[in-house]
Amino acid sequence: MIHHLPAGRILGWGSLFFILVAADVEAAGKGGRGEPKPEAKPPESAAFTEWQVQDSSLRYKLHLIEKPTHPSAGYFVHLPDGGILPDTTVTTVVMTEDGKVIPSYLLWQNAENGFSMVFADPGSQERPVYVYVQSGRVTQLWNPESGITPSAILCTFPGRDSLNSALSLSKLGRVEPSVHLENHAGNKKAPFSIGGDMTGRPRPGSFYLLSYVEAAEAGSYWIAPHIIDGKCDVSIDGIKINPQERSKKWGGTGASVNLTKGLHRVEVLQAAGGTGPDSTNKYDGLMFLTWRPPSEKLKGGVEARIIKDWEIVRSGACKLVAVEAKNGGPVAAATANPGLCYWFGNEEPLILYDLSALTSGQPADATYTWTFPKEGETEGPDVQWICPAFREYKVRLTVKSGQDTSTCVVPFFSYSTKQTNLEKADQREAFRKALATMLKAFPRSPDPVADWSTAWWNNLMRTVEGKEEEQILTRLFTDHPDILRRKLTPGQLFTLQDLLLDLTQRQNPRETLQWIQKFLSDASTASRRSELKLREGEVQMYYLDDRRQAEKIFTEMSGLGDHAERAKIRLGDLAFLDGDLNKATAYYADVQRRARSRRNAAPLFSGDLVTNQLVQGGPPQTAQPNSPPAQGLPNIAAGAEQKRGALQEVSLSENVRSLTDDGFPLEARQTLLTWEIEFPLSKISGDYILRESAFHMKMGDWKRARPMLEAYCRQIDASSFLPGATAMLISCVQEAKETPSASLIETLEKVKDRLKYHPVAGDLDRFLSNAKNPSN
Amino acid sequence: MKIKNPTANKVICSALAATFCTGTLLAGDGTGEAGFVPPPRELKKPPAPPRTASSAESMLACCCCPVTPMSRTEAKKPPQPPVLVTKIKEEGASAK
Repeated sequence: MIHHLPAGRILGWGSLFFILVAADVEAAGKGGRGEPKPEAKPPESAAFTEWQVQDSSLRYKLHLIEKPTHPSAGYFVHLPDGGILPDTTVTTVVMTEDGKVIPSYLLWQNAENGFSMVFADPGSQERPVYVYVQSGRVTQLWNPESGITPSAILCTFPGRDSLNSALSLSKLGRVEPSVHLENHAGNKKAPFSIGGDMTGRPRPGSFYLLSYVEAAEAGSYWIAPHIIDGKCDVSIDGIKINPQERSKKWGGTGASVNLTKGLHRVEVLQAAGGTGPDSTNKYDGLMFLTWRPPSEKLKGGVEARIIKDWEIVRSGACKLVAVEAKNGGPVAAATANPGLCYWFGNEEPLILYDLSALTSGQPADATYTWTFPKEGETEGPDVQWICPAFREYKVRLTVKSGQDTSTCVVPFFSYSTKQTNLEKADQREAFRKALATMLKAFPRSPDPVADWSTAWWNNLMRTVEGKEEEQILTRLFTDHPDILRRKLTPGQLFTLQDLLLDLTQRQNPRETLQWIQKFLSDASTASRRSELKLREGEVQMYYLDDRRQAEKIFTEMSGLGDHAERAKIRLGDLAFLDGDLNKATAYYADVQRRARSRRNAAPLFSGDLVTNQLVQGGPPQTAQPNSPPAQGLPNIAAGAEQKRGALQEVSLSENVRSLTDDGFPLEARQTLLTWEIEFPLSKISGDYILRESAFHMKMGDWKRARPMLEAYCRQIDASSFLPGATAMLISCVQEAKETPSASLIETLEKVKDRLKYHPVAGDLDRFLSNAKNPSN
Repeated sequence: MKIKNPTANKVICSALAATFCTGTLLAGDGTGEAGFVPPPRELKKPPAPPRTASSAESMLACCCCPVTPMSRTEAKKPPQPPVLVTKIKEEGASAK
């Protein structure tokens, strides 16, 4: 049976109401030709072109970024409404900068996704074109007699799986809010095909593909659609074909159609039933089209071949660069582009979205406010937000200028195909940055953090590095402490607490003491309380220079308890800082003697990431006196204890070095703690001072590295590590922008005397010269 | 005597070649001699497997295009442990 598709007509819309939107203005405008092409450089134009259509109050400015394959294919563009259109109907006038009117036609329009249109090729791509929106005019829908051949526009209706739904799309005009559009004919292997919903929305769905193909010669074409799934109708020039089996060969089911040389309209109606995403191995696309031109001989016993990419007509693509109001007021319009995807195992996928307001053409004093339903508000023209995947979102953008306000809603379905790799520091940082923005924007009640799935917490654990998370952690521990206690394992909670203490003590050690008191009141185990007390003493010693208070804390702790050995090492550190090398050595030797008796009892860095241990719910393994035997050390024969210890020390040193250099701060910190408890004498006789200082300097913690380096340079007369320690000390003072004290200068003068033939003497000379004569 | 006919030249050459070869063969090719090892015969090749797809089908094996799937994130890899090479020299009797 053959029926005619109602493809052409001109309708007047008297009472259409549409609100707005455009989730992906740019994406909709791009030609779907397999791999995305690099965007052409947008043409430069005058900052403001005279308003050309006086009865229009709004215009869109477009850059033509990709030419149509055929002049008749024109340009396809999908434009947001933004709640700014003055009327309930969409009537447009397209003009070039020099005032030439370009024929244009509306394709589809809906209350959510804005409107799509096609306009004739204005010729030059160099200058922008303007789409003026008029009021009270008759809307002109595209029709085949218009002379424009838009192709290949895939119109998708999610949630419906009938050919009737697809047929309703072919009538153009107003469509349901969920309908969306892409300029997409197929992919590389099947240039003319429908694979599914390009936005990732799940089945069911209905599709209408409006396209043109080029017949290179006149004659009888064998048209053979391959329907992989669902129902499909194909029409050529408005006439539905009725495929019949002519042979059992591949492509043997089809219909012969007489075509003249030139362009012919091919429309596909497709319905896809079932549930779940199209983007799985379960489904292999929906349909693809093959044909056999009249004089083409095909090898391999087939009846048809795929339609080649160059045989499919493509409309040109535009980029929306500005939306402007005639009165100069604000206009809200935005794009939502999916970015990185954080998805591990069976966790909920989280997608990082880039939301960008169109700022070009807006008043200079315009402010931009994004409202996320139930998740608060944030300011700025560009914002990054993390959205769980496979959900519908509606974000509101409000642009204000003076007393004028414009609002639009940006709907999108969260889905991303971007490859993400946490090996890349910038991709870890992106998650942290977006999370910080969100936590700042979140309302206190109802608290969105309470609804975070495991994926949120685990990705936080995977991306924290102890450098830039202060904002995130401060928010979490200030605004959501109960949720943290409820959702995290003790190991995860303690790690985040320690990271916050690390971060705050560099800038504001007094605040760190307050945090310690807060965490102490929440600590449920004696071990954790000891850790926090130890930390309190360290803050007093290294950052506040209150050594008496620190000594008091460490002395109390050194008697008994989980961290007594560590407290004794700190007492040794205090003695070292105070210039009493003998006392320091006595403390270190005492701890090391006991450590030797349980040599290899402490676990070393096992090779697995601390973050992996945290995600699995376990605490990070740090060295404790009664820990199980270590793994991964060379198996040295019994009786060679001394050599075994030396090897272990070298191993620890190399581990800390490589972990610090390679960007594994949590693991490096853990290994440093193990090293310190096993070989505290390394602080004087080994390279512990270099590795520890390098770690703190890498974290930007100059304050923490400096005191021990200065003490080392002052008290160690000669060692292989003295030049390195001296160079680091100079770096610390310079990086902290600290004015060198008299005692520091005196210490370095003495070091210079000892190292006068070493290359570091040159650095010392320069530093000391500058310190003595700052004006130089 | 000079033979002018080129066909006659070819015939005479062929006849001479045949005579020499026949002589060689009659004289024996050495295959019967002691220690002769015959060269390996070329084994008969197995028949080609039946074709399961036409060339056109193989070209279109995937055919269509499900929507690009979302893929899992690649995790941060654990660090590679530093390689330590050391030589332990024992002093004393056991090392000698």
